[in-house]
Amino acid sequence: MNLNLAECFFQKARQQPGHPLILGQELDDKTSYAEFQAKVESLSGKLRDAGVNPGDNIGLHYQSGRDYIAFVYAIWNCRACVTPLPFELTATEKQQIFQYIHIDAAISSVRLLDQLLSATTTEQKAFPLTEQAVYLKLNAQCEAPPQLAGINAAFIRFTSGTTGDAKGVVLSHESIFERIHAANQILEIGAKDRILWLLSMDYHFAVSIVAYLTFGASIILPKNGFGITLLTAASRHQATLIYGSPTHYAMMTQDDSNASLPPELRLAIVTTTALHEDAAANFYQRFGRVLNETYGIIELGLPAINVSQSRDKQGSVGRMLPDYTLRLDCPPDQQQGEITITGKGMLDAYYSPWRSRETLLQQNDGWFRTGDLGRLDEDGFLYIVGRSKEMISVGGMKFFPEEVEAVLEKHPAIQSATVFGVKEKSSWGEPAWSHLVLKENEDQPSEDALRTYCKQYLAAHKIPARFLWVRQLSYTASGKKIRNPDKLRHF
Amino acid sequence: MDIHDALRSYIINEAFKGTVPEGFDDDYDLIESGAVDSLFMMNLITYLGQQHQVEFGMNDMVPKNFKSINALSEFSRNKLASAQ
Repeated sequence: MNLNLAECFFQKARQQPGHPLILGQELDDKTSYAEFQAKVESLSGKLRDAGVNPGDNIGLHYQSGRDYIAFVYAIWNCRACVTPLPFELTATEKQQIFQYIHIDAAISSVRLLDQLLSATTTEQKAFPLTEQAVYLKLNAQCEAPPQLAGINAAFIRFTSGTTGDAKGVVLSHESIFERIHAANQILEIGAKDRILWLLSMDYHFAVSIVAYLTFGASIILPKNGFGITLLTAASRHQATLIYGSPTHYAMMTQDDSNASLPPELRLAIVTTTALHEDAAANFYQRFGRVLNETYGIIELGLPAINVSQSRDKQGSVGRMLPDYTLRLDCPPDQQQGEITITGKGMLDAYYSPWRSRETLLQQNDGWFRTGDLGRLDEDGFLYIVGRSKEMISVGGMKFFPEEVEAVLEKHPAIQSATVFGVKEKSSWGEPAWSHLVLKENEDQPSEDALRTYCKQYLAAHKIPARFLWVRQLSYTASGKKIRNPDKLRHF
Repeated sequence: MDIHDALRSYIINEAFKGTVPEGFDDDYDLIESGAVDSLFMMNLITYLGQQHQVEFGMNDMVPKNFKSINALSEFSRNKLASAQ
């Protein structure tokens, strides 16, 4: 019998039936392991009655929360696979998923059903699962790759990619099992842990939520994202870990009450995007704690986690975990290069065109090329310095947008910035342009003033040719900057 | 449409899908009721920024500004007035 992550959870539930699995905002809002197991088994029965078969791929169109977790585990308990359908996507973006990934049926929030049906079609009536959720068989718009049947697939995660290269990442139960055990050599999550969860489950589930249920931890789900709400939930339930984005930590930092973090807190994990050093400094000043950055990518899991409590290592994603090996492909005479990694729990395949893990590794001597650029310090701590795909070349001189963005974001009038290369037919290659968001209550500096400022810190070829002011930057749903000028709105 | 009415319409349609709870009015507590969760808060900020040019700073992301339709529209009007 193949491994099933739902069975791993059931085993833990049998070991600690009364232990809280979900903790809500209020102290008495708890769901125990046994109660949750009963819920998962009940939903599994309903899904089977509705026609779910082993090997089916079920789209999940539901808001993050305890029901979301229950649906994923119920689908797995039916030996079917999950494809998240983030409901904040537009109908066009959802259509792209349906055209790319074979999806047999979907579980949808009732109140979001119209949004789903605007992106796909069904000839059958919705089957009620709960008061808030329905199951419906869909007209699949494409065929599944035949190789998929050879994989014990748990997740197929669609990603449009920051450069428009659509991918479906296939993860098996075995790969997820390997990556949570790899991560837990450092995280050491167990029944004593209570994790304040702040992220979208559509994008963060395979290493984090699955690890919590497998290792017997409790998940705290706050009512909303206000700083005071997060701090109250963390203190009330004595959180030992927080798992959030830089925005969540900024919300906690700017809270003007006297609320503090609980003394039990041992890790404040930051993911989704690079942490601005000011944000880390402000958090430290307010709470006396460092933020713990991670290096997470869907193809690999969490190969590096910075658990150091030293401020000296702020900005690093930490050392590689014991089950992963890093190789930096540095050009001659350079200390930084593309991050390539080998280790446990790697993706099983890209969905279409089908590229198996073995094929991907064979293409690069057994190493997985991340497309990210990094450097190591003398203690083996990894620092991410950019995305190789976003490297800008001006007159043959290459640099990374993050470097220029960091300079711009230190300007007193600039809240945030993106920098990107613009392909022009000139001998200069791709001149850099920038998009800038003005800080509140600041006057917009002139282009000349900005150039003068940049000249203090940057070589001439790195100074943007254009400074364009925008109301806000664009981010992927998982929180990474989109350096795509077409998606921004100008003043 | 006035920003107050526009906000009211947006919240009824997006947070309540057109069916408001009993006792709903412009002072209805959107936070206590759970209508403003993390995601809807971000949606509101995007909506107000894109449709009404109301820009939120980090210091504005506090419960009192999101508490009700009246609180949101008062905050928005003040923001727009100070931006002029």
